[in-house]
Amino acid sequence: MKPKYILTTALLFLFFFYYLPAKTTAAANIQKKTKTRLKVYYEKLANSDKKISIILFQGTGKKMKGIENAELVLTTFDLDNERQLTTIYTDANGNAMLIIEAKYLFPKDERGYSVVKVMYSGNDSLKAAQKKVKFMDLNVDVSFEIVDSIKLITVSTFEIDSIGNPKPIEGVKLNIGVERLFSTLYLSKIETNKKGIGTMEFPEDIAGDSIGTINVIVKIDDNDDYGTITKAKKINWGTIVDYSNVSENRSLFGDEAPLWMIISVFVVLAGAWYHFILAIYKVLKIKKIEPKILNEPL
Amino acid sequence: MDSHLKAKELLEENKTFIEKPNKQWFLKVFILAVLICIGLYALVLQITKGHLITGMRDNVVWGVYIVNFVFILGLSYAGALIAGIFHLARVEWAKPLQRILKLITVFALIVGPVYILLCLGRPERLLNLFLYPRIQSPITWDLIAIMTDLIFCIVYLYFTYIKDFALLRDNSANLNLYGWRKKLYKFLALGYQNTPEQKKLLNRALDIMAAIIIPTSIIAYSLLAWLFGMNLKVGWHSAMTAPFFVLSAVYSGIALLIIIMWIYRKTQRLEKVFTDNHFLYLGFSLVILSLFYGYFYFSQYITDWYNIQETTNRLLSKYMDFSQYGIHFSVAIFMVAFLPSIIIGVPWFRSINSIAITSVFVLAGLWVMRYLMIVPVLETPYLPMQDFRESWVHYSATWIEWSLTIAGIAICVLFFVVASKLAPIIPISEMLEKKGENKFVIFYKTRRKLSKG
Amino acid sequence: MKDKKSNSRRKFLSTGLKIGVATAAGGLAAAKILEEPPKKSEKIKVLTTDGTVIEVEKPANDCKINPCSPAKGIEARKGIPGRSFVMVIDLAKCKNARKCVEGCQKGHDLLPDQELMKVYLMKDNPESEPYWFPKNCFHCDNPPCVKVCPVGATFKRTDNVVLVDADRCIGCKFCISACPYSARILNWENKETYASNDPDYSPETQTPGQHGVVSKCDFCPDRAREGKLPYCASSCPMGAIYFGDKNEDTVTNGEETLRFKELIKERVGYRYLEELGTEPNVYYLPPVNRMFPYERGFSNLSEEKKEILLKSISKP
Repeated sequence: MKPKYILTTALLFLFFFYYLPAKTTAAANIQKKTKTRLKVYYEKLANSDKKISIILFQGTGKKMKGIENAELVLTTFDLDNERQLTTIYTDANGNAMLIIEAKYLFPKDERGYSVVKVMYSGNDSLKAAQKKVKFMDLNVDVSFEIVDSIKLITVSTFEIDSIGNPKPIEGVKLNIGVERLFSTLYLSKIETNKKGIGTMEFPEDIAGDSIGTINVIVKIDDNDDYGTITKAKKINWGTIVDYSNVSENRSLFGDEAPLWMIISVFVVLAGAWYHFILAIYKVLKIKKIEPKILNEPL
Repeated sequence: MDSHLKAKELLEENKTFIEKPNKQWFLKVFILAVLICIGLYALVLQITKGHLITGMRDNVVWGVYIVNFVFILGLSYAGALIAGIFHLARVEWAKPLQRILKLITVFALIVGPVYILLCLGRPERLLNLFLYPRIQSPITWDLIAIMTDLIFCIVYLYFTYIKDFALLRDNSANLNLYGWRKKLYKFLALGYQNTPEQKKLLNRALDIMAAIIIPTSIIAYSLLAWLFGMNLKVGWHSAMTAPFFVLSAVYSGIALLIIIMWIYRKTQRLEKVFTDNHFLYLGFSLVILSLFYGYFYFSQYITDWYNIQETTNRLLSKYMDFSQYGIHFSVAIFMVAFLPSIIIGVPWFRSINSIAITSVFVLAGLWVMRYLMIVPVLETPYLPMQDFRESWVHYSATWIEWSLTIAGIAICVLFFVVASKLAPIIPISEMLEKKGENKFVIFYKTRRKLSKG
Repeated sequence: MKDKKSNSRRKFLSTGLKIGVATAAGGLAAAKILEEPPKKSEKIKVLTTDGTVIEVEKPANDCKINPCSPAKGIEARKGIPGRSFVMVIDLAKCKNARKCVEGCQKGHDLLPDQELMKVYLMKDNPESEPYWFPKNCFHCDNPPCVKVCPVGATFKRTDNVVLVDADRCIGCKFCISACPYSARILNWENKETYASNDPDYSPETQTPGQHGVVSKCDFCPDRAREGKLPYCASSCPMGAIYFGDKNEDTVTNGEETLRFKELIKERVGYRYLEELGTEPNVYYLPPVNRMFPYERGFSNLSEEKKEILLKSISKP
């Protein structure tokens, strides 16, 4: 029994003298500086420009709050040399972005990855933070063809190697959809084959605009290697929607009243006012024919 | 000569009422002015503080104001309708009532629309009704109808005054009047000398006016009814609305006529003019109208109730529920549909006073019925009422609305007090015209043709 | 001020331990914030091909309809060409979180008790279970409210939207009583931010509001111009509110994009009080296979309010 008590006392002793002070100092540190976090996304836009979007924030969940007007330093790695790209500032929500033109050549590592590092140096109340994003540059080509009156969308995915030759990439998962006002309506998910090609049969009943044009969107969503890639191409494969004719079956809510209503209002009013004016005319005539010599007094 | 002497006699009899006002008259005016001023104060509050100080809310958007609007305009159209019919039908005994009816018409038509202005959120934008008119809207119909009717009725009222103004002008020497009033009579009499030509012209004008006033008032009041009927609401959306409105208007008009007759008979001792027969005739028409009212009401609600729909059920159960509108409904429907038959219909209860008091009950009952037609319906939308704010669910008028209601009545009474001082409340000249003296304008040519044939 | 600060700090400490668990959720939320585009006038940096950095005006890529700014005056009465806005509300997903109400109030600068979007508790028959029923204006194709307006202050546009021009409204309230869906409200109270004939006023935004005029759900066409969903749809945590263009045959709740006709066909979508012939443009998906029991919706209501709701759906 006794050794047990001794052990417990010793452990409690250790707990009080070691753990608690450590915890309070840790708490004091947090009080001094708030931890910040970075999220970095890589995206290849429809016009082949690249986009790095960043959010700098503190807190999590409901307490999450973007950090405003913070300086972010963006660097890339050429082999082992770190090279600064630029500095950007966050907006009111803690968002920032950098657009990189399509032909800008990122240095690649031996496995073909390019890296962008984002650094936030912190300030008096906020801790510093940094985050890297790795990506490979994948090209996506979209083409349309009609085979035996079946509309086919063909997508090919390939990388450009160092010599400039395309190298097909297999097994890339693609979402194919059409652009809509608020979002993209996805129709199908396909995967590229050995030749780097995936096809999809386009449905007949997708609504287009007044001449049937639709904007086909091919999207790779947050791929581990390639990030997010969007490709858009227009074709008139949609059904023609005629929206020139807005039905007004009971047009009472329109700006103009129906003819029968105007006519009946006019007729009723004209009838009433004609008789009214007739009556006034008769009364005014009384004054005109007032005898100069007094008739018998009333 | 005979009628001329009689006219002088009648005028002599009633001259105290139109002669220079006494203290009592000024006291009346003062009391009315105080009531009106309280109303004006409420109006100022409403304009400065906004409509939140009224009882109206998002569900019950139309409250006591619209009840008053409908009720007072009903009296107006009833006055015009009854006066027009009595005039064209040459109802001899109804001649002394003509002036009261026409005064009711005009005064109610002036005061009634004020209530719709009180109900507007932005009354200062009233001009928009003319800048951007939409014929499709029942409000536009109503606007056109009320304006037309107002002009017609004022002119008609003036036409019926011409002969009496001429009478007053010619006899002003015998009357104790202010000088300006004598000049006014001379101007307003339009040089009327009662020559045969003038008489013919004036009578034709009066016939035409009476003839157009009748359809105008029916149309105008039907349009007002469609203000409700055109709403997609249970309880309003019914083909019955317009005829029912016209019927209740005539009913309330007769009741008010009896009350005014009674007041003048009691206060100004006009027993010779407003005879027992008047009370009996109008009392019996009150009985008939009450039965019609009951019939209309019953046929409206039996059809609603028989194959009852959900929302209709909710509405009708409010009338039957004594914790909601049960008491109001049962008392009002008793006063409106049953009381005249009992009090006037049973000879034992029948008397001049009982007829007048019944009319008061009928008038009050009709006002409550209008309230019950408007407020509970607005409190019963298709969707369940799920507002947590009590005032948003149940309407109850605030003192602002009540004081403006009283002020409106006071203005009407004030108009009557002033008008009956300006000229006799009974159309003296008209009363003295012999039976069959004025032929109906429309029959002139027809008669000639018929007699030729 | 000081008290507030230290208080929030204490809160932060207490939540500190949970951070590990919450990081995953934080990721989701971060993605949500990213969707919010930066302010319009801001410049963004572009890394050009030769490695130099230039600053360009942010491209108006968040502008889906030209012109992007809310229409004013006569233009506002016409409607966005070629659009036919429609809303689908999935009743199976609603748990009376009231975020749609709050989002709408915030977006339209409404008073706390003014609701253009309301959530009702409904019960179709004595045996069926109650369900929550978010209801805004239905933007009917045969609108009873527009018919009765005496000055044309409320109007139907070609893009299905029914709007109110607060600069013209005379406040007669006829449209409020004509609407069978209780969709309209009046600005009874005079608010400080209200202003008449403000040059920035657009019927599409309804801001700044005005005293004594009618207000209603406007389907947020100003947000549609920017490709954004209405406030209610974008703030619903359950994704119960889908919005889209019928001409495009597409509706979306921000996460999931569906074909409108298929959705209505397969889920047997209906319109509330179809028999009134108003032809609403808001469709409901029946509350079958619910995600939550309806009682969950009472969690943010007091016992008293719960009683009122339950009483209102019981038959008289």
